[in-house]
Amino acid sequence: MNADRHEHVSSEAASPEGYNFAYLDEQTKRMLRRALLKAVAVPGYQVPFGGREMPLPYGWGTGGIQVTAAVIGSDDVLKVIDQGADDTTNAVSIRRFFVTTTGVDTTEKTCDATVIQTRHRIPETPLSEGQILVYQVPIPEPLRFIEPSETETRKMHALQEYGVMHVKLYEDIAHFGHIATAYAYPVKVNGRYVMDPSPIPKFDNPKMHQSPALQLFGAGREKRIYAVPPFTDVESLDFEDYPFEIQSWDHHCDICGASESFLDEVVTDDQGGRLFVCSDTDYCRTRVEAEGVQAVASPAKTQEVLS
Amino acid sequence: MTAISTHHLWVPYANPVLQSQQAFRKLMRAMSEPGTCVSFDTLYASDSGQASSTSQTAAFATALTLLDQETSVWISPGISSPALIDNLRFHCGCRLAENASEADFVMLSLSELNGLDRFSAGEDINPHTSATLIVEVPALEVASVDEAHPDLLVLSGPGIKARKGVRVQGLTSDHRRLFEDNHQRYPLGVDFMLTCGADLVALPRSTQVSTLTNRAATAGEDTQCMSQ
Repeated sequence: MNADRHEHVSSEAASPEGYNFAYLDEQTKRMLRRALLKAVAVPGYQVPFGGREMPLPYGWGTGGIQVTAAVIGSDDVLKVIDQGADDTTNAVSIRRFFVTTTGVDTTEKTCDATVIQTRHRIPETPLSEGQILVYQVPIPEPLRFIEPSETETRKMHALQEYGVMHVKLYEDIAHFGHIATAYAYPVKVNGRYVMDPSPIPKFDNPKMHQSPALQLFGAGREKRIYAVPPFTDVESLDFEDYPFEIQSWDHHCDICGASESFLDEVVTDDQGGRLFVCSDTDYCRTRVEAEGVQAVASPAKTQEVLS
Repeated sequence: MTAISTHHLWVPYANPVLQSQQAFRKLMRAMSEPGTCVSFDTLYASDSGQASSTSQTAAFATALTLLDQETSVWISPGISSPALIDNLRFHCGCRLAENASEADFVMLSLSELNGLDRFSAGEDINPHTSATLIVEVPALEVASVDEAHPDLLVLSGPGIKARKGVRVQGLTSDHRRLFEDNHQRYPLGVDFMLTCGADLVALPRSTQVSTLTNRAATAGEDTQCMSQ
């Protein structure tokens, strides 16, 4: 897909016949909007909302789609990523859904987007003020795997009874010698609520802290919305002697040579061949285009990935 | 309840779908960046060519955007008028609460804001059930935090890079204490939307409001440091 091509449908009468702008009815949008304002006022707190049945199954981003639908307007430029990539099934489907129902312009460039819906990654390119990042969240409750009861976890949040989260991280250290939690790594927001940042790799956690962009989280199955306003403290839980640290790789991206981005391992054959490439496709392509970065890997291997 | 009189209905959004989305984005910007002033002027100018027949454009836009049959609103005696009540009933279809404590949204003037006890602050396990207070103030403007002024509120917290200043005319020391008390009980507390004509500044419960006296004390310390 060409990055420069903006899919465009006339903003007038963009919705298919019989459907409202952005699919949801106005009553639903007002309900979502009220929940979003509460979520912004109490950063990290999970606000229950009346989740609607969406035209795709739970687990495919119904929460993120409802949040985006409540927020998006005809002037917005939308980017959708799935694990950092603009061209994977979930991202393509959701982008097409909003083009059909709103007629907004879309982009693959992080810096051109006003609303970015994401599944499990934060773009490598730093976000700026005025941008909105919408996360798709499968299980919003960070305490769920420790305490299965919702009434209990709500009480634990009310009482700030978060010691168990540290016990869980401690158990990691006892078993593996280090904190082995690699994604959905729990954070504390604004010094109050422990929050699940959705299953982003912990590599992305530091990007949430004091981010200039507004971050909104939607969990469709669990019917919860939460938010982190711009310039808000987001602290990853850790210990003094086992401080929080992010993943690092011995490899560079085999396409653009980046050494500081989150890498995906790609199996290339059944002979043990593999490549490491940037998970953020826009970041990778921008580097290749802008700097004329030469591929680090052998040309044949790179050609294989690019084709 | 009496029938709605249609004589004094205000002009709503010409395009309710797109304009309530634009209004919501302004509200969300105001709420996520406390101390930022958003203006609802343009919402009425574009399509209809008519101005809304209320001078309280920001408050009316907020009502059109957020209120419906699922929400209740309590209107203070100082703000209440047959026109306001009829417009809210007709355009929003919201319930009118008899007691302020039962209301999801409260509309009142700054001079009537003399305590928080009668408004819902939410519960420990459900802090989102609190009320949102739409407070009409005599004048409202964004100001520099360094400018010493009796009407200045200095804001910090989530959504604010360092500190932001807002000048609200008619503020008393009681109001300052009330804003501080509201933040003290975080995550409980009400969220304020201060409105003046078309302008709106939000003060969510997460925002720390420091008083002039605190700042004067800090300034005093600074001077002390310099003299040493």
